[in-house]
Amino acid sequence: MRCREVGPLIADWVAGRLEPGVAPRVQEHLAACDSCRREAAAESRMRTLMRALPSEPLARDLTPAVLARIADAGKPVRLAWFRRAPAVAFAAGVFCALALLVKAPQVRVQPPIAVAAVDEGRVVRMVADMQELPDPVGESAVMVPASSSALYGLSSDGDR
Amino acid sequence: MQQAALMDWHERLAVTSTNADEPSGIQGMADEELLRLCAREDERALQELVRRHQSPLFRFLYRLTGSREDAEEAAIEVFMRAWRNAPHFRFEARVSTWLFRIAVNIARDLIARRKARPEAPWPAEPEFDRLPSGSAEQDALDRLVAEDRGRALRSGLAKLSDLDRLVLVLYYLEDRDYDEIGRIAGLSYPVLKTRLARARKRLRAVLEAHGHEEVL
Repeated sequence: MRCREVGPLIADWVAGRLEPGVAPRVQEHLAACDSCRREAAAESRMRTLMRALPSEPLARDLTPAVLARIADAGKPVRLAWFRRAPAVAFAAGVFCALALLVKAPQVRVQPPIAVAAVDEGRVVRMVADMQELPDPVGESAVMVPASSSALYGLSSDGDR
Repeated sequence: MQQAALMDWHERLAVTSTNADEPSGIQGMADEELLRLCAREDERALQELVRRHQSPLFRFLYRLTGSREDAEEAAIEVFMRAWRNAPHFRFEARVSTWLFRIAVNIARDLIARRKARPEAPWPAEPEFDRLPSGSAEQDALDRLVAEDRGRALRSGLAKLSDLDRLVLVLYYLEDRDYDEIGRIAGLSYPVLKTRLARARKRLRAVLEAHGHEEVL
């Protein structure tokens, strides 16, 4: 084996993790290679140090705390489908009602098709009618058409 | 094949249900069986899981976070999440691996929150400096040397990235095999090998940069 093959295996060799067929070949290389042997020695010291770090024991049993926390939080209850059915029906009803409420302002009364048929001449005459109206209140009064039905092209002024 | 596995699962579940009524039954069960009972909201199974795994989880979390309080809080949260997610466990990994994976996620969140608070950095000098006291002079000297080396090593570990620290802790302190480390850290085998080698080099570099060549 060469150094570049042995290098990645050194930590596992020190830890005794190598497969039985590989370990003797690594050991054979280490016996002949100063550089890899130094690397193995450094790895061995680091491993010893790491494993010498004292571990802190758990000072108390966590079971009561876990159970209390679960009781506080509550687990989402899994209901059978037939027990969930009323809730689903209620939710659907609320959804439909909300949908209708949201939809309602968007409903517009379509003007009669006759409006589309109003020709330019009639519009001119309607404006002229509005201008001829008397002003019962004063100059600030809002001008209104002579007949609201004229807006819809239904006046019987003989335009047709 | 799948049908046979399903039947086997049902049979085991039936056996589990019978044995679970006896206190000794719970204690003799495998982790996977306990988790199945947790999925059915059996608190006795949860208690047994806590009893078995609380110490290793606490030790692991303590090494990742460096704080006793954080480690205890995180361990409690691990069992909370395990209880909630027990119905979704797919039994593709060992239960202990799954618990450690949850612990890593919680520790990451915790460390990220702590980094966001400048007044609470990662504790470079955790509380575990206490070693058994000896009366002989040589023992005292050895203890001082060991404490100094341990302090240097913990300081070096604290300067590594979270992922580097995680793979080193799992490899050296938890003695997990590559498959488990990969599952817990969320790394593929080639990436893990590279990461582990880099983490070792970084730790050595940090120790050397701070005048602790004698450690290595």
